[in-house]
Amino acid sequence: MTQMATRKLRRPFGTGISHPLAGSPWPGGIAAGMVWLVPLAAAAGLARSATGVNLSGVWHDPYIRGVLLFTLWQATLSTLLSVAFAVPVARALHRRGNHPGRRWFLALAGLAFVTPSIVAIFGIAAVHGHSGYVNQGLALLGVDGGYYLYGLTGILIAHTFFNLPLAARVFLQGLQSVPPETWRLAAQLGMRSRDILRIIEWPVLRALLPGVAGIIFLLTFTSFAVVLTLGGGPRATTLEVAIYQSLRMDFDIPRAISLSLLQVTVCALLFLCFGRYARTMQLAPSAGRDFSRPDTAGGLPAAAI
Amino acid sequence: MSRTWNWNRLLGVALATAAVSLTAPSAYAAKPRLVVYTYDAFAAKWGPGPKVEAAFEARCGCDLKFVALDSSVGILSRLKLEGSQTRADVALGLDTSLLADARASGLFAEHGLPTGRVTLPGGWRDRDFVPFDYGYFAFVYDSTRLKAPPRSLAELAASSPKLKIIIEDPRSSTPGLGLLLWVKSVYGDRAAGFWRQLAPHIVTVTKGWSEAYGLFLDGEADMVLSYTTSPAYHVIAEHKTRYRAAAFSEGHYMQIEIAGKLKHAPHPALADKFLAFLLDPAFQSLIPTGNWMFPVTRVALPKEFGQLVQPAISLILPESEIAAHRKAWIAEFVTALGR
Repeated sequence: MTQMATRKLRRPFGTGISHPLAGSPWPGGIAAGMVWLVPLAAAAGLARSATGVNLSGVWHDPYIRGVLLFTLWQATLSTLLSVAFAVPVARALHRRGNHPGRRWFLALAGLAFVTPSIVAIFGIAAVHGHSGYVNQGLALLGVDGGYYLYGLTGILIAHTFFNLPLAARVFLQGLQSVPPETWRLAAQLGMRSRDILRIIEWPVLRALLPGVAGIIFLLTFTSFAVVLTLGGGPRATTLEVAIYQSLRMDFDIPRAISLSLLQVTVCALLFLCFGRYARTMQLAPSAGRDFSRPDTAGGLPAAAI
Repeated sequence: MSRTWNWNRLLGVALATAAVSLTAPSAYAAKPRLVVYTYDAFAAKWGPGPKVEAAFEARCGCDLKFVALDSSVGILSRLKLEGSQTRADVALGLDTSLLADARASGLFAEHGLPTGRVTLPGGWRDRDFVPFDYGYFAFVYDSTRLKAPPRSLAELAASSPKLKIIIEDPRSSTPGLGLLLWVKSVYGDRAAGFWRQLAPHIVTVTKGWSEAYGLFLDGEADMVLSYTTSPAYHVIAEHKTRYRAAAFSEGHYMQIEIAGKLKHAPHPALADKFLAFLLDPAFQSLIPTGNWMFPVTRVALPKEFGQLVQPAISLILPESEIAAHRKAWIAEFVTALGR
């Protein structure tokens, strides 16, 4: 935006397109300002009724420490499981382009992410619960599965259900964007599957991994109903529950703000860490020269982010 | 430069039109609108909301609008955040466990209604709030799966670990808080020991009633914390008699749902009319099969309600005690179950 502020109206070479507002920072500035205004106004409104926001007090509270550790732990495990299992799923989907039901699987995978948590809870309980299909099957074999769903296992199953399809779709898109010339070369060189994984697929997945893992981590970090219900009880408490309790039940706004700040800080730190490892991915090979879009007033070339 | 001039002109005309239309007096000011904040189950299509709306609009010549909030705690939080700028006239669906908080907020006005008709066990003398239904918390079980249910809280805690229950979290749900208060009124200072004894029976503690009851109906546990009136729904609506409530000898904790008029209500006279309507048979007769609770005045109950558990002892804690100790009691619950 600062670059645009000092540029004059310019007509990019050879296009003849110009727009009266093309060099102006106002449209973008107003739009960005309005987008920022909404969350800042909400935070300011809440902060106005809060005196005594005490971040260090909340940080030193042993109960909150325990809750934060549990939240981080279950989010890390969920992310690792979702991403680790998504890689073979994406590879399989990519290798079997004509497999029957592939399109339906991809469509359902898109739905899994947006399933309401209560629906997912009942569904997972129907399969893995004490009276679920798995336990019924085990009972036929004479094995008592017990209540294995309610605990960390249940949380991980539910989070993997929500996030593995998302990760698999992203990885699949990445694999599909590898240009056909690469596959032709791979065939000519007689590459085996593990060479393809090492030389072609892994760099693509590695570029996508931090972004996907970051999103999944943030989602599982802030998960509430699923963790509480399938976690088995107050042992499985995330920061969200603590925030919900202090805001809704106790109406302790300073504490709710402190906990929210703590959550935002932790997430922001993790986001920054992931961001350092994210690399830009070449969507398609080109001669490497950058060129601006014809309808821009200058600034960054199109493919830099 | 004529192109720039046209853009600016268009923008100016658009802004002027917007300004005029926003400041012009509304043409929809025909009937006064009474805004009632309530919880989502009440205002839902399958709840009592639509019938209540029809019955009240027929007699008041106004437009009744329910604003559905996610829980009774949600109603109070929203009112506290809105303060004196609130659009609400009446808050319907608060709980007696929230009574002290609601009164302390200073947002409610006295209702000034005679409450002689109210037939609650223990009567009703509060001047700020009007009760409109009540129920008892109880553990509901499937009589085809559980042949001999426990007959008291003590028996429940002492029973074989094979007896599994599902309860709700007091931090996020009113039945959960109700169970906490129930245990407190029976056990007092020995509640922590009771929770520790109960812990092996608990399959899970859910965020709200819907998750708990749904998991129970799916067969995940033998008993679930719900109300004595839950079996009535199964009998009347589904014709299933297998679900029963377990009667406990120590008594059952009462949940009395209340309504109050806001001090800063835009239509105070209409709000008074609505509160009076709550004690009227036209409203009270909708409660048993609409909200699945007991009415607070003498109206005819469906005959299936006669088969429900009638607690010998009704338990309720004073509001000041709840307000003073709730946080500590919840912490005790969390610690005892957290091991």
